[in-house]
Amino acid sequence: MVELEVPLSVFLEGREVVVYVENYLNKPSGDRIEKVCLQFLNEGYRKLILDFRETELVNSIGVSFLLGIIDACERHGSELVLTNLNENVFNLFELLGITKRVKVDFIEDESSTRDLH
Amino acid sequence: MVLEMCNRIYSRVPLQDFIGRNTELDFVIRHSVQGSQANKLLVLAPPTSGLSELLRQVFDILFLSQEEIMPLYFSFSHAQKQARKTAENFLVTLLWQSSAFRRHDPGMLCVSPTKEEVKKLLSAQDFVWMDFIDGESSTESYLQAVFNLPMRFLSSGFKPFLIFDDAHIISEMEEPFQQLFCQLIENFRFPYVLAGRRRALLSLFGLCSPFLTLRLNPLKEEDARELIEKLSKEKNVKVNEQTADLIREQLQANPYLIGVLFEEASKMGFNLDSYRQVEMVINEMIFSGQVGRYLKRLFDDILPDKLVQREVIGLLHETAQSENKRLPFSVWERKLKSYNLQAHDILQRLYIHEIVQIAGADVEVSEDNALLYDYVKARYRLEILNEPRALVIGENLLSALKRAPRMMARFYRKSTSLDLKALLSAFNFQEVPVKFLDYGVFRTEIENGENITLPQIVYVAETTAFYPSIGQFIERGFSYTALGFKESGEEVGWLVAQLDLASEVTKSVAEFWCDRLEIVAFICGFQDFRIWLVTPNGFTEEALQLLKERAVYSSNFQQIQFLAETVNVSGVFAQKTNHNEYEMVLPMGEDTELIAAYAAEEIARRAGFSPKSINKIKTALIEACINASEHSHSPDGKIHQKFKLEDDKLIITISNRGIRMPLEELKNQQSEGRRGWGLKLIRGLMDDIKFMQTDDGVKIVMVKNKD
Repeated sequence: MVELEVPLSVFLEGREVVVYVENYLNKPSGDRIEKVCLQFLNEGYRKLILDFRETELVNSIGVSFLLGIIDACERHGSELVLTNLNENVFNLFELLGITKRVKVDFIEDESSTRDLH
Repeated sequence: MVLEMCNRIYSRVPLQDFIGRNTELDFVIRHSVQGSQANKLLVLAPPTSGLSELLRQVFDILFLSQEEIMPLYFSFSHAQKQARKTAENFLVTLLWQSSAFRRHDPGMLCVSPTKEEVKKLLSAQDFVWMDFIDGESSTESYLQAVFNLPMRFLSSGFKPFLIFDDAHIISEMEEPFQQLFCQLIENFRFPYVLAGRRRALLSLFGLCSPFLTLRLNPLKEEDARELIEKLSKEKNVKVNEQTADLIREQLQANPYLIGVLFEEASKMGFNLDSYRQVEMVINEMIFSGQVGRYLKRLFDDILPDKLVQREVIGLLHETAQSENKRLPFSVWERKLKSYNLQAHDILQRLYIHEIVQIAGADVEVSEDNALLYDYVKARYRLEILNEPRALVIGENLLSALKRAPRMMARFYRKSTSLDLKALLSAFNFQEVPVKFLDYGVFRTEIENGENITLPQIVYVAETTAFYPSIGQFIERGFSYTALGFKESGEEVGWLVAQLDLASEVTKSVAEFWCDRLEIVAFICGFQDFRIWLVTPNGFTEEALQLLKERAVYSSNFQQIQFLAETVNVSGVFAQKTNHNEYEMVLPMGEDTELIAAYAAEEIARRAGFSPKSINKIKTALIEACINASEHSHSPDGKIHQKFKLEDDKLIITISNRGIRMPLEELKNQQSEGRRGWGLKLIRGLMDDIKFMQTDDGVKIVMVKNKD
């Protein structure tokens, strides 16, 4: 059983972990997610999935923490997947070039799922 | 002095700080060049309206531009009313100024030379003129020679532009000055200006040759606000929106008085951010400050005899205290007779300086000029009743503080009143649907196809000007009486009242107003008249019945709007509520940028922006707020946000106080590693972005176009 350093919703399945991003990805929530992700990477988890289903807005400080997680995954040789992004968040990541660095599962609605990577 | 280094000669404020008078400045300068149709320009101004500064600015502009126009400025003086001496001052001033102009030396104008000094510096040609003039013996021929001097400049190839300031003083000069001066200036064949008190100039100079007029009105609301903001910064005296409005109203948007107020506040170390502070400084201005001194000098000039002055102060106080603020002329005449004085002469002087109005057989004081009547009342209590000074000062402050909210209430009501004067003035035999003037027909929403032919209105004034007693029932700006012709050619009077009620007008209210306006019509002797009641929320059934029986017109604001559109008058509704502009001030930090984002979402949604655009706007706004919070070191920790909908775009302005980051640095900000993505995001999400520096901070203007 992993004891999280910060309170956050996660789902563990084998060596994969799903981290649920909060409604507003900003400095405090970004900091929390980065800490948790680093914790899982250090504990040997090979795949991290960031689930954005609850995330409505993202700011540039939140993005900076996401970039930190991407860098960390690359260092650890782990896979990072962003999933359930709404269109707004996806467009933002695309504008900042994040979608070129990381696999993104983009779900427009419940019935359609497409792999954009 | 090198010309380029000097940008002021006679003017007292830098040109860029001379607020609200650009149109007038342009007009006078244009006249200096093109005064061929009518050489004479009369500039008519109320007291302390900044007239002299306007003329000094004109002089400086023309002098410093050193083009072909040679500006000449002469101001008449209360201290010098002797004909020959005034003419001599004129001669010395003009020769000195023309000499300075020809030498390109504004520095010469920093001194007031004596006649001997002028003589020493004159060119041979000037010397001949002066010698010639000096040789004249009789006053008449001396005046003639002196006032022909500008014509000599003209014949020597110069293009003089002569400015006479305080020209109303001529009416007080000893004869034969007035008569000769008026004759001589008629011979001027170059553009010139006669400027002074508006109530004196037309009768003095408006009779002979053709002339142009320029009226110097109080500053416009927005100009007065700009002046207040400028002075607030310059003198480091805080104001807020409420006190800025109070200052403008109480000082009647008078630039001189507003300037004095801030000077006095600065000296006292006071801010002007509460009614109490404003009134305390104004009280100081009256009792020990510049305004008190100015008014004392004015009364000393108008009424040099102290006993007469005392009597007049008593009479003014009595007039101000009387019902309707009027006193019969006969009362003034009786009291002044004991001093062997002609009441008419004294009242004429008081009238010219706008201390009283002459209304038929009555002498009237205007309650608008609160400062003047506080001064009169104070002098009455101090000099006639011999009351203790401390008591008078204290009680004046108390009554000013009680008056301030009342004055502002009047201002607020006035700012929501309709411009019925403009509407009536536009009546010119137009045919309009009956439903615009009959609320009974309008509310049924059934087109009956009937039209009414409006009269041709030739004169409109406040109903109180026709019948002052009605002033006790209705505020100024809410009732007008108009005179004109019907299509048949017969005369007709229209009497209109705006009833500012929150609900429908009832029968009793309608009846009250019909009765009052009928009295006005009868007293004015109107053979044929129409009463028209206007109200925001319409009339009850019983009221309509009564209005129908008495053939009275009735309109609500919607009808007025239709009527205004039909007769092509804009701006009838004074209320300046702009539903396309929103403002918000947020504290920095604690995710408050989300509040801004949700507000922007609602504004953009109402304006029909697509959800995709709305999301972009929200994100860009969040970034702008973060930028303000992170880089400004703002002392007040506030972010000011303005949202403006314009055509098919939303303009968002974000500003804050704090460190001014150089614009180039802002524009070229690059993302470095994990941070610094904000501006890239804003640029990518919005259609246009601009950075501006303010006095102590930065402003970002972002534009999003509708899809």
